[in-house]
Amino acid sequence: MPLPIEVDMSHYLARLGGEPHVFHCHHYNCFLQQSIINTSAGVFDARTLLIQAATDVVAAQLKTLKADAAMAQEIFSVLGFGKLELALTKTSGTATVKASHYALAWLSKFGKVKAPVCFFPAGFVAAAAGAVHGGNWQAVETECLASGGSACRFEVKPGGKAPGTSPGMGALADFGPRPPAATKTSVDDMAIIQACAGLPLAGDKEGNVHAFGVSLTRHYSNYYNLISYKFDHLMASMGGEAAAIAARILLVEAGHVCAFHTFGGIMESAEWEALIKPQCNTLEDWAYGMVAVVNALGWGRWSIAALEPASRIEMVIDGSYESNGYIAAFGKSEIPRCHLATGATAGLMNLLYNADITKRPQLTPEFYDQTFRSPGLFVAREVECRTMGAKACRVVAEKLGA
Amino acid sequence: MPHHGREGLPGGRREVGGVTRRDRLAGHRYSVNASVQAEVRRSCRDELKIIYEAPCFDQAAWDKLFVLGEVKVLRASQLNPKMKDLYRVYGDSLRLEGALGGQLLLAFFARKGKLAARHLLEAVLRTSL
Repeated sequence: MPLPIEVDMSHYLARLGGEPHVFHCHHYNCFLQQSIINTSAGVFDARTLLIQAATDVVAAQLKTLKADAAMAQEIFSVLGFGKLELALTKTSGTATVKASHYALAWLSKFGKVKAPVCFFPAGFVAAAAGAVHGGNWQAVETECLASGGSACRFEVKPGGKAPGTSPGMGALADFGPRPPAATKTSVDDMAIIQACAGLPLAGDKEGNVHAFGVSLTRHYSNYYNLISYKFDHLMASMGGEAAAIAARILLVEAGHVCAFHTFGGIMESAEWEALIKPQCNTLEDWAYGMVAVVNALGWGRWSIAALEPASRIEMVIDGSYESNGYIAAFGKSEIPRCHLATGATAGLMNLLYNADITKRPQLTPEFYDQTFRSPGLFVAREVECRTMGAKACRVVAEKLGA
Repeated sequence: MPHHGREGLPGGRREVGGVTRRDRLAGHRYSVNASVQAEVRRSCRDELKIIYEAPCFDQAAWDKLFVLGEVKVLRASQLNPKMKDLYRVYGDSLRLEGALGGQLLLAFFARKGKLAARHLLEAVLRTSL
């Protein structure tokens, strides 16, 4: 039976079992995880945070869906995390993940590591055990592809913390009209969104999603929200304001990484060649095309409100998944919270005007450094955010020295 | 001297100093024939990714590529006539992606038999373009 993934185009999001889902690629997933672990070293145990956040959101979803082990395995695979096999009794169990998204991605991006890296899958397995047998469970990865194992294996046993509360669908926004500039383009965004819906975006027989030239997951929005904002809060409470600022800088940089690799990968993909490039007459149309694709990813509704070529962009985001989750989980904020959107908006401009993505450059780490250290760098800031009481989020990216 | 069977791509040890052969090949360009240029790209996974560029991958070219595996088509031109239909071919050890009338063919080679799959694909490209 196909999973009941619902696409809600009135809020530009997708939901499964009461949890919103967004597409993100392995570059973002790995960079975000690595940043949180490395930056929090000596301050708090990030691995526990990563695992617990996964358990929180997955437990909520599996409970809503009244999922059994087979459904949990199916969800894991369809969302692109790999092929999960659960072997659970009422008192113990094991789990194996073949072709783990996180492990394969880590190997591809950072090479072999000494310790396991599948923290999200560990939290998922613990939640699945709880859904099947009730009570609290914990899962420990004992073998990982990324550290030389033949597969990723987990020992599962009762115990650990009870799953926390997930923000669920979050604080959904009422969308206002799109700004006039949003449609000043030859790019047909609705046709692109429709076409994206026709792409094979569910996991294949190995539980991997290959589209847009990258390795995708249809991840839990609230997983990103919980790990990002708890990372920020823990850094502030345990490391002080400077530590929190460092955390926020890294969360924005994760957005740069996302844009560079995911947006860049998309712009060099067969999908771009077929669906978007034929509609583009100018370089600015590429920005509009990319925004149309973003609007198929479940990130909320992005609209270009102003675009001055090679100089400045203003992006309005209705119902960003970051603000939906933040408001529901943490309430009102005194600072902007859409770090991914901020980094991604800057990244988009840097791809177009500094990386010359139209020439299909190799998206290597060296080229990333070159692009994000060039003299004409675009830097973004979120000037209005729903978490601070605004109706929509607004991000402005400007070229330094312009 | 190139390794037997690796025409077009330089040979060498699989992994040197933690850098795989696949990574070392990234950026390498070669000609398949007078019409088709190939460039090795870094892939997201343990697979070889090659972009083939030609003046036009028209329907006749795609018809020949379709024999390499299961075909999936997204009729994007029906959503908007400016869009091109998106073709994917899933074969043994290879995956092909491209647009009807496009200039690029993205090929991903993985698992056992990837070398043979690349040779087979390039043989098809030589006869069709």
